[in-house]
Amino acid sequence: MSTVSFLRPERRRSRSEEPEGSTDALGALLRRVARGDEQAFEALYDAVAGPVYGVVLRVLRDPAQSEEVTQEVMVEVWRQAPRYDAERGSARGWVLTVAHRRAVDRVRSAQASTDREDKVAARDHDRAFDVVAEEVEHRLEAERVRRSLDVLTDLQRESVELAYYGGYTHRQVAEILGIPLGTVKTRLRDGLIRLRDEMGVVA
Amino acid sequence: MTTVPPGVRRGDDDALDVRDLLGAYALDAVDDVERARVERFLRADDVAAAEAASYAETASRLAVAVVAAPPPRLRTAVLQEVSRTRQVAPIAAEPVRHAAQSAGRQRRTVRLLAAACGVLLAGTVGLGVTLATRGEPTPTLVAAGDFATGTAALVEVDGGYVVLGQGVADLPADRVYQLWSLQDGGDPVPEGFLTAEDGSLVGDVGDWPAGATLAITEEPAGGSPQPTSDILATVST
Repeated sequence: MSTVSFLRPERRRSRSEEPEGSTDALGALLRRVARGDEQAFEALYDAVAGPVYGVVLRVLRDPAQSEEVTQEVMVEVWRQAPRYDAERGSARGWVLTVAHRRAVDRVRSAQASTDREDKVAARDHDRAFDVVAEEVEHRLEAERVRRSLDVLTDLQRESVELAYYGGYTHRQVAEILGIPLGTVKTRLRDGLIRLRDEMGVVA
Repeated sequence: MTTVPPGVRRGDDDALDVRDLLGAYALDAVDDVERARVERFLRADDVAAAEAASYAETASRLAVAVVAAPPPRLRTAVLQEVSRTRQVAPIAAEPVRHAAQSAGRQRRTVRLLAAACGVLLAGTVGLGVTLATRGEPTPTLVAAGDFATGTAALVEVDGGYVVLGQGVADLPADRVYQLWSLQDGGDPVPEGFLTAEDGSLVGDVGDWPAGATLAITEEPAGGSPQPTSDILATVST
């Protein structure tokens, strides 16, 4: 069962391919940042601050906290840039991974004290895209990503969105949806496989 | 039954397929113990590591769908902070893996530790207790020891080892806790260093020499080749 889902579906032409060279350009910027180039960092900030702030805000929901966490993320990117390893993923992927992780850390540490009500998000999670992109380029790309989510089954999409945008663990997702843990794990993984192929992400 | 704290149960590990967690892992939907477990697996399996990298890349694109314009003052604040922030050296010294986790992530693991220590203190069960995270058996407590103000423990997960501490004093930024393995009168072998946050420590030490005693000292940032302080805690395995 698990081996089947590791097989890649036949690769289709992606509808959501990125503009040519944009990730390479970011990688080049990040290499300059790694050498302490503050101007390169400004350019990097301008290129990634929208998605970074967007995902942090999506997970945390509170603008003031999101601003704080975004600042932490961007300073961390500056600090850690010398250790960025291009072989392990794109520059943008790296930055956004740091951002999502930080946002989730914040949610879980807040949860430890307030034990946020799980059910709230269960009601909310269909409002995943209520943030309006400001820039045209970002908006177009955002549209492409949203469209690629359409390749997911409703069940996969629900699980992926709760995990990524809701910041929930797979256990919490299972609890919210009232389904077995194993089912959630499979949905998350199969969902990512479908998205990956739809988006044309190269492994 | 009544003497066993919630979240702790006896039982054998159901050897859950760690591959099943790769999707959840890429979406940050795992807890600390699962993360350590997945990362240990990925270090040993290049094919799975490439698979996981492609999931991470895919997951990161989901951020683009919720792009939002941050307030302009944030840019100014970030650039100001960056101009007075030192970057890390290109190659890491040898920090213990996952040492730089935030307090929030650690808390969950520390709750496991607390449960483990509770069991030991109560004397109800011996070593080899399996800690369960909501019904799923995961780490096994190997041994625990005392700090001046807290507890340290070595926990086994899937053949790898995680060091946990709680009630540990936070150190100034230029000091770290360093781990050592001690064996049969030999010199202490450095096993990495880590920092405490909110009184807790968690570090993935990977392999642990069988029967070696874990010792913890306080050292300057970057660690020391030999201990330079008194031993703060030992855990005999």
